[in-house]
Amino acid sequence: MSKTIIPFGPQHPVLPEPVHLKLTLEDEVITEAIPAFGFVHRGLEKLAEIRDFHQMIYVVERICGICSMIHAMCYCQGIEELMGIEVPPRARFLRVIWSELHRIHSHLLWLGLFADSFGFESLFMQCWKIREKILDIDEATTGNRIIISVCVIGGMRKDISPEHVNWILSELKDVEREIKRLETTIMTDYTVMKRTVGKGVLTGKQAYELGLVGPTLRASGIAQDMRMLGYAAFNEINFEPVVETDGDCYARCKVRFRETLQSIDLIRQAIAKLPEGELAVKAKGRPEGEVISRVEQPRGEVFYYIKANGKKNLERLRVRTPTFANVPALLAMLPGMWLSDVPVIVLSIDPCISCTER
Amino acid sequence: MTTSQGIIMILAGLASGPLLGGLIAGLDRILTARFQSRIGPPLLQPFYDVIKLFGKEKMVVNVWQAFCANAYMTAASISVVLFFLRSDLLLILFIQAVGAVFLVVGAFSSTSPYSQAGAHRELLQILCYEPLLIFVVVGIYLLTGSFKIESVYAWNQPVLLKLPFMFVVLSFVLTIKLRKSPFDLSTSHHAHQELVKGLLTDYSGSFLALTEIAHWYETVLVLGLCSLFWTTNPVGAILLVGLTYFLEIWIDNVSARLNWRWMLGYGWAMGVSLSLVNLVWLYAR
Repeated sequence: MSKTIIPFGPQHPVLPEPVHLKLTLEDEVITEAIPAFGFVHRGLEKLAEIRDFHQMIYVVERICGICSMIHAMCYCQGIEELMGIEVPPRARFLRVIWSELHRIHSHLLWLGLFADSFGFESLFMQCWKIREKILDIDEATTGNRIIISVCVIGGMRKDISPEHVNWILSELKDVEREIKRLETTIMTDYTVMKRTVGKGVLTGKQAYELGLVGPTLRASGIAQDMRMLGYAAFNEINFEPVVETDGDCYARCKVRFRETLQSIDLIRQAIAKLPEGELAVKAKGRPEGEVISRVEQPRGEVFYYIKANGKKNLERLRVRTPTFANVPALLAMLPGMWLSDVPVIVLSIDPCISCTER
Repeated sequence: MTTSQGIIMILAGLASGPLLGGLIAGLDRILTARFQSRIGPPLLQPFYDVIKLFGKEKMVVNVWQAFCANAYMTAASISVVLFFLRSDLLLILFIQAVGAVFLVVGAFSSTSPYSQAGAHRELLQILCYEPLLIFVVVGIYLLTGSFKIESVYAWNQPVLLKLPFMFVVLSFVLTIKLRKSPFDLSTSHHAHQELVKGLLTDYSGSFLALTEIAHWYETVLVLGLCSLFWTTNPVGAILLVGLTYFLEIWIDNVSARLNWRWMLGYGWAMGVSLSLVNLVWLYAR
């Protein structure tokens, strides 16, 4: 059987961002898949040498548009630990609320892209339509829809007013109802299941040994979620990671779908317990020492290594994003699959290339 | 049919693809958009697209591809003209199949792996729907005693009443021919699939416009075949065709894209079974 090499990307309609996959096929069955990166590298970590540690918040927010607030929160958390700052309780709860809003809109964006990957355009449109309500909440509460810039070292720079709280709860009720309306289609539709069940299967052992993170890991039965560490105010609300056991594309979809509803619940809990008080404490002095900060992004664990030497510029900033950890899964999942499964499997890890390349 | 009537029918057939087919495509895009909570493009957008393509610089991978685009267009238009002339159904299907194969050959003449994979899939689609179309025509023959469309129009009651399962089979073929989900396998209208534009990847400019117009002709032809199932009343025929096309758009919007293995397995199993049941039932009566 002759081999065909298909250059899949870096510019490809089913890929939301530029990544290249060199696919070797026999007939339409993949025998080898080699990913290549480096098309959107911006050198953001290097900017730590010329931007001071406060300005770096704006830089890390721009690592990724979809989970910008969570990047900022992870970075601020690390600097706060280095400087021994205790964040006020209200700010910690606000961090939970906005980070979970980001998770919802990220997962809805992904659900849409995932639907598009198997040619279900109307489902794609419905997911993105629901996502607009979350972006409206971001805009109303922060002034921006995506990069909301609310985190500062020592707390938050924006608050949520009591009027906004009621409106957010009402909007979330609508979002929850609309997401649940999609449940039958996403979870039980014959054609969706035909395209996702049994595709790109990873056992729990494989997923763990490959070092996967986030929903890609949890879909293989491993209950690992950085929110279990209790950062921000996650230690003060009820949280259990969403886990599925089948390890295929359907299970990964199911985890993200359930997490979307779970995030709504977490926001409700955070709002119910939102304490009164100040938003931020003043960050005095400069950071010194080294620290590792980890939080759970929509795609999984993001890892910040920060090394500071008491100067205004950090000595080293290193970011390991969840997609970097999840890419090895593609090499394990793609061989043996059909060409038509490539978009579904690639999208199932929810790749974020701008995060990965920074 | 007199000579003047024949000339009128030829002209109507030739005009139906670019005009009626384009309007159907425009309506399709608006309805699809409404299903997806979008407004959609203007009704005449397909015409604007094709006119724009004709304005582009002519570029082809090789001369053979240009020939194939023209051959596909010619075969598609001849098959519709023959339909309007109420000619032989087998001849119409044969000419339509020749055109479809030319489109595939044109894609094969390119070395692009996307074109090649798309061409392979298109061949599999042809392999799936051609036998089913033959079954439909055989059913019509067994009912009316002739392969001529004229004889269908001479039949005293709607064919649908005698060949209901055949109509389902024809609707299945329509989904493949219209490149709707779950069968937008070799190429899709929006190019959001693993093969990008698949079969049509290396067609561009006026040659891509020709394939689009040929596709409109094919749409008119397959919808014309649907109309044969209700020939006793023009209103009934229009309602039947309209309802069928609406169902096609609905199916397109409520299903994901499947793969060619499923299409072949399910298509043949369902298509052949329904056809045989209908033929046996017809024979038994």
